[in-house]
Amino acid sequence: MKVLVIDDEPQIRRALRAGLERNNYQVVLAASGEEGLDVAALENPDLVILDLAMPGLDGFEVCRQLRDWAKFPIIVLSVREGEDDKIQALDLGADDYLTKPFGMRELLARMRAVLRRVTSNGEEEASFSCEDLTIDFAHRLVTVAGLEIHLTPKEYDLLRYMALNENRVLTHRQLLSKVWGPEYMDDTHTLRVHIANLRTKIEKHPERPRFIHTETRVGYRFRTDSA
Amino acid sequence: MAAMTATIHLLHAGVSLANVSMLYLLVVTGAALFLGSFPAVVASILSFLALDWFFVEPRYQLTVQDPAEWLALCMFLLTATVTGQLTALLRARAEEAQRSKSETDALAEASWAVASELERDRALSRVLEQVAAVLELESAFILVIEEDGKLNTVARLDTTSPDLDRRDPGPRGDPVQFVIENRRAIGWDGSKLWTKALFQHEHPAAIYLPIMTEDRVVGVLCLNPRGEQEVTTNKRRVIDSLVNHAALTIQRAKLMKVEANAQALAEADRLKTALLSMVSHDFRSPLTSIKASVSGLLQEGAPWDPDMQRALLQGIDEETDRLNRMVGNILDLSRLEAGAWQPRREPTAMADLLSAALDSFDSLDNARIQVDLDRTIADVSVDSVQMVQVLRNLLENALKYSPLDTQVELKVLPANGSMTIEVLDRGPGLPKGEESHVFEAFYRAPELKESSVPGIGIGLALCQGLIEAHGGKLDAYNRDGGGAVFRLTIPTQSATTRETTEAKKHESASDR
Repeated sequence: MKVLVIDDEPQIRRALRAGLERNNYQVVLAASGEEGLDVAALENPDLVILDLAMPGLDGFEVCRQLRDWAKFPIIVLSVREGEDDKIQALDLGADDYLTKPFGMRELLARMRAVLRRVTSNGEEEASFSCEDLTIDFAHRLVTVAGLEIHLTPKEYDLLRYMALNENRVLTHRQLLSKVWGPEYMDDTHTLRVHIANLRTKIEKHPERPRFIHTETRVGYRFRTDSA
Repeated sequence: MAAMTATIHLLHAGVSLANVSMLYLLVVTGAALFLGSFPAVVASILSFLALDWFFVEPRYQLTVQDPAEWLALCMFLLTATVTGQLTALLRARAEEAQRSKSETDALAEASWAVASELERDRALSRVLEQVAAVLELESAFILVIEEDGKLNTVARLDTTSPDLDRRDPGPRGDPVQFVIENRRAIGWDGSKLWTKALFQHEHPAAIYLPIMTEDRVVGVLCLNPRGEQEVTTNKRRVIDSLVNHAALTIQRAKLMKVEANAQALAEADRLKTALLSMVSHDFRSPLTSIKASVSGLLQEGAPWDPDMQRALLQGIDEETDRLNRMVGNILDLSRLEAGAWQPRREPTAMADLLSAALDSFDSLDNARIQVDLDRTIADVSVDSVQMVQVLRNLLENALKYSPLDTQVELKVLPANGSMTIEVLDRGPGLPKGEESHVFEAFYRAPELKESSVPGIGIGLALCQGLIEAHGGKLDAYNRDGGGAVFRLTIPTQSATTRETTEAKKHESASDR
């Protein structure tokens, strides 16, 4: 697995390389947006970690240009106050984001989540299971602690889509267009109602969800990794 | 005069010369009183002639028979003239007094205006009104040289004749510019300076006066007097004094601006000082523990016990998180102080706000937080990022200041058109009488100042700022039975009702 890290901070590049290599990733580095584009074309990595705030060609522009030709997942690194940056980067085709400063464990979890989407593309698994939640995709059957849960068709579609994209951030628009259709893209109220219903049905403590986490202003994340 | 002569004739034909002359004296006095000094002299001479003609033998001739009567006539003429002149002088004095009273009044009014009206342009308008009370004006205006050097017409009076205006300078030169550059008035002494200023002989009857503080021109007063008026030295003095009032007003406005800036700077300075002392104390303590742990781990020598090594690394991990939170709070606070927060309201599920806030606490902390959410609360229109931060800070605060074995309660209570959230703890409560101070930036309860409980007194200040930006309020009370209550109330109605109707509309469409 080859990972390209594009960041102008040498300390961050060094720390990421050490952490990633220890987890058996092959790491290539780029110190600027321009260099990142070149290295990406040359090395054709399996995943790109991209800092948004860089002098010169910034992360947004790099993300946009990479998406012109590349399908590999992109994880962007942003600063805390940057909710708008996150949304913009996701709209430009980034697959997920991490807020600086972040832990290695978080980064590895995000990487696994976005890589799974790529590898499992096409052939779908027959079922999903995490702790006491199971989803039988073939029979549209959902159980919590062995008991069958009744979901409306849209609730089921929403849950299924989120479970198939576990641990990845899913924006409001992404969920709406994938589950309801592009014409419902801005109907965030519908989404909120369905999320609330799903939480009461599948979560043990709906106010402290195990699975459906809120990504404030951005969307939701269906978490199966331990918190 | 003729009327008096006729009256005397009709009523008292042949009365004595002394009585008649007294009556004529009355006429002269009257003329002096009402008409002035020259008419009084004329009246004296006419009276003299009338006496001679009508009442002195031989009548109807200008000759006088009796030398004694000749003397009497001469005495009359002298008396009449002197009386007349004295009366006329009196009249002039009275008039002068009246005029100077109105001028004094104008000055007093202007002084009052300048003293009572702090707003520069309104004060200048009132000064201009007083100029109009001294001098009859077609129009007048005051130009102020603003800080950026631009001229600004700030006060204007009776614009019936628009030809006296900054935008319409003379064909060859600009009198306003001349006044500013040469610090001299034009228009007072005829056309001499006009010729110099405008390179032309024909000029409007306008007067341009520099408004000066010390030796700097801060503005120009332009007057367009009505018709031909004599401008006495006194009037000039009064107008000069009014111009000084205008100068004072402009100067004061500038000083007030400087003062306001100084205050803002002083406040910023206070924050900076607090920030610096905080950086030295509160930032250094996590940095110290990180440095100590890392340098220990780096030390060459006997290998570390794996458990100990792990504990040190965990400590480093926690301390960096703490530093990160502190940096975030400081950044937010500085944005708040700069007035840069604009809540970006969007309909948000209350449950989403809560779950996001709770998500940031670990399971130990979460076990201490008891949530009481009314599930009928649908959506609220708030800046979700900011609200999550408020909830997080309030919870963090409550957890931090209360014993580990006590619960922190979070209650969400709907009310008509607003939403109330309470965070209740069983900690030491708030210092008596200082309840409201807890929201001041860098405030920490006196007994906590040097305590080991980490904190920098920013979280609550930030919460209050964010809630106020939402049009709500955040209060703190002591709780019955010990502990503190933080209660925030924010208006929600508009969003909720609109959203509910929208929801009904979509519900059927979406759940097919």
